[in-house]
Amino acid sequence: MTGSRVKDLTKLTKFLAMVLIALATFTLLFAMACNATLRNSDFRLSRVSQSNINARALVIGNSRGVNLIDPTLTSVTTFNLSYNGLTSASIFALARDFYRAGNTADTIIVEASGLLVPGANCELKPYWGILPELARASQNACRKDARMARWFPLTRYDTELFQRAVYYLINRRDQAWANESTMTRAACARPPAGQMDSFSRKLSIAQIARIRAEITGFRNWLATHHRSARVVFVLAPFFPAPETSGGIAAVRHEIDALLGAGNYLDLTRTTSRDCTLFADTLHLSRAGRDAVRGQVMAYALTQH
Amino acid sequence: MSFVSPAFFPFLFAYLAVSALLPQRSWLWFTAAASSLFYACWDWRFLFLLYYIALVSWFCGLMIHASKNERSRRLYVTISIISSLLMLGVFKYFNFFVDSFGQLLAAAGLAMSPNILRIALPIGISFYTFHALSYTIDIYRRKLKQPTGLLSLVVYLAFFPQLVAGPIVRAWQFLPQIDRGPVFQERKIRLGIALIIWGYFLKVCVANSIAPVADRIFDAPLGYTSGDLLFGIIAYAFQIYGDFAGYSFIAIGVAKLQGFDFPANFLAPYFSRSFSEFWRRWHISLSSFLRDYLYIPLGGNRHGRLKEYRNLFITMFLGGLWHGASYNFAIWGSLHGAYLMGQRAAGDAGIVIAPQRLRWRALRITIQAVQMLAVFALVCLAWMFFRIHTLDSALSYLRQIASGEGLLAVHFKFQVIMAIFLIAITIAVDATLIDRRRTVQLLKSRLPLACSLALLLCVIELTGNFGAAGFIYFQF
Repeated sequence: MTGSRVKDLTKLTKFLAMVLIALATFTLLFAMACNATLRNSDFRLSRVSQSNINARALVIGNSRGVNLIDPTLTSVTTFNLSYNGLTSASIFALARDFYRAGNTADTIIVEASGLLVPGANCELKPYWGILPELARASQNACRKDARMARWFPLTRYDTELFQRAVYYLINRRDQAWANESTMTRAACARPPAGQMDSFSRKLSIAQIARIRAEITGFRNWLATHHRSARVVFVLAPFFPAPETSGGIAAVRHEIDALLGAGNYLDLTRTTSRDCTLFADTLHLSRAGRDAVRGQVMAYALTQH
Repeated sequence: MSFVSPAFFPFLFAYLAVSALLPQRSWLWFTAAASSLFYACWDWRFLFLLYYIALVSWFCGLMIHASKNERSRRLYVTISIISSLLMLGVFKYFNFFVDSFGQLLAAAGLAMSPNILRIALPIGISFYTFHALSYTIDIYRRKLKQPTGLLSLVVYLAFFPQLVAGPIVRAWQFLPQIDRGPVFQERKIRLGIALIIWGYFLKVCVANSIAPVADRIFDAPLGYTSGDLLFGIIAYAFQIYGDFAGYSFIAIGVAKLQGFDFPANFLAPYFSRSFSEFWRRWHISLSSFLRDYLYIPLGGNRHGRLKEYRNLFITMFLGGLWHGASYNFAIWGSLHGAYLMGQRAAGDAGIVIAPQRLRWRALRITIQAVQMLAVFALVCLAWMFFRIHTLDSALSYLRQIASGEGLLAVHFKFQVIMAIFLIAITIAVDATLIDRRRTVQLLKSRLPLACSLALLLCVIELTGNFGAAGFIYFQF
């Protein structure tokens, strides 16, 4: 090896060492900052770990749950723990974490369409460190993410969930977070195809059995640990149009198979085709939330 | 295998380690084999097409060099151009033209069921055919003094960093470097690492984070507000920039690790204050290729204004079609042709303000910012046509924006904030890159560079979306 090559190699090794040391230092600092953000944010999942929620109703579900009840609009103290794309196992794990952390709620309102997606959400990985039930529920489904996070610790925070935690650290109004827009005239006249697809897929018999077991398991856990609390299920409205009617019927059929017909509040049958009530075919607008909140709360509190 | 697939880094490290130990001749064989393996991961059958193009170009190169008179030199360069473009035509454009012909006949009332070839598009064909063209044309123009060996030519066409999506490196630039072989230089490796990390940031943070929102908006635009649709266009402008510039930076960086110098392919394009400047900053290797091998041979600006406009339009129109056989690419190319013509005409009419002549600094900066925004807005308009495949859909997208419905109500408020954060980093780095003196200074000073790269790696870990493995330009 020539002298200049050895010199170059030494310089390169020094440079790479500098990068690695800087990387390790920044990773440590970033990880500490991220963890502090998660613990101190006003984002709904962070608030669970802060153990200071005292509500009459806890709402939980996917994005349709986010847009079902706006706690700032209800007279009953309500906490909305829903998050976009929440699946069945994650819904019940989060509800368990909610009570385990010492928060209280008399009634849990589960938006039922979230139950149609089995398994756990790996998107919730930033909270594995502070919500143990969630971490346990995700163990099998998110092995790849867990492995990745061991080697690259900051990848645990590379989800929108963490970015929301940062956002609500500064902008502390998480409970008002919901869709503020209404359907466009074009979408109202001709709803885009395919939006119902994520819900109207057919569950296998094994999946139905698994989700049913999760529901029963959660009910039993609640009966054992929080006797006074009850869980009710609500199916939030979809935009009722000829283009979506097939999908809505399929969703209803699946929910019947999971919960039994009549064992949940089905709002899909009673909604009018008023575009101002919807943000899009799947989600209620502010006016829509205002229109259904009385019905939902009355059902939840009566069941209790 | 692509630059963001998990297998790439083990492949790259193994390749670099073995390369460092091999003598020049064995390195050529090894690189040809490694690049073939890289390509075969997509579809091994198309390797034969690549070898065929290499063989024809090599033979024509030899014959051009050996020919004594201009006529036979011209004959062989024509053969090589036709055989390369024929392959491109068959695989990329045949179906489009047959389909269009069928539609034309149907419109005239004549029913015809055209024979469409159901074949996949060989990945990177547009890039390696242009490399092949560059080789024979450079020999013909005597920019390359000697024809190269077949093995070197195969390495030139198939060299894995630039095989799939460029940059289009000219034969006269790269072949002498191939014949010299890889060189170990600390300065170049340092620069290579910096370029690779920056490329990854652009791809996995900017492009991959923006892509899901842009895709949702473009897939069903009627469901979104005017504000959403406007955001969709801007998001796509940065998605395609992040995606393609990211690929180019990684490719140039990987080549640098072996001491090879590729020309820059992107240089802060959205800072352009005119369309000609935009094309000196965006996909530089293609625009300069089209300038040297199409615009100038067509006559360039040497035969009067009208012919110059014609040449500009033809060049940009064909540049659009180079991206694919589809009307949207033709419209995109035509729009850019029209922009360049308009700019030239405005310059002739004395309408264009030259802010550098203004005395007041504030006014100068304001005019420059307005020019930059105007160019960006029109480039975005062209991107909309590029992204949407039918004219009807593009026009209804524009109508929906023009309706003004929910202009300030954006569905993706949160994603907009995230996109702004990532775009701000991109713009900040681009602003540094644009200042050559500052860039050189940063690259020379080791500690600030190491810290900047470590910081960028942390941002990649924090905001990167590693889910999407493909690059937009792979389809071209």
